[in-house]
Amino acid sequence: MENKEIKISTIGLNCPKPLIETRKALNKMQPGQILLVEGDHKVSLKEIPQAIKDLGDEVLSISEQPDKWIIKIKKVK
Amino acid sequence: MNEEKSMTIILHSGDLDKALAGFIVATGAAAKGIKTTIFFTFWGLNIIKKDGASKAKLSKMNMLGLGKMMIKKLMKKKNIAALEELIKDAKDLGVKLVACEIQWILWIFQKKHSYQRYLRSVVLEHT
Repeated sequence: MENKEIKISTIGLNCPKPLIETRKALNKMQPGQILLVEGDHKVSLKEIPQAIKDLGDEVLSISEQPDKWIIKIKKVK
Repeated sequence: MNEEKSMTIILHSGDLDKALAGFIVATGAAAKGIKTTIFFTFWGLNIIKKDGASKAKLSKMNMLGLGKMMIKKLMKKKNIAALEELIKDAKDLGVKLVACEIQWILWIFQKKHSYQRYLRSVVLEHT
């Protein structure tokens, strides 16, 4: 199992693309891998962690910067 | 994980704005882990026809394609996903696209559409 972090950028994208891209990336990953999602769409910052929890994956951290945010996700199953 | 949720959207209009709304909801739900199906019937079938998505018109203020051109330009500028892109995303996320068979049968009688060719174009595009 690879433990390499995967990073995707959704900067500039609008609803619902950031969530779709996150889900597509997670579907390709193995359990235990880490995904970093960065973006600047404000609503997605609330929406993505909620959707991740619903599906049983884990949100490790959320960091907010003035012009973008980064969500760190661990794929559980 | 809690019990599996599922959702079906019935898309019965071939208008660009209405199809777009349906696909945005469908892809959003699928990304949230809801088992999503889109059922196409009546003019909604035109959307999943070959090149159907790019030919879809606006339901209001289409103005012979001028309105559609303007809205497409605006969507591109604001980085909102186009319908063609959303259809691809929906398939990638495992959204089930179901076409109404009865509607095809009804369209045999319409000289404009060749039933066999029409059926083939829809099926080839989505398998």
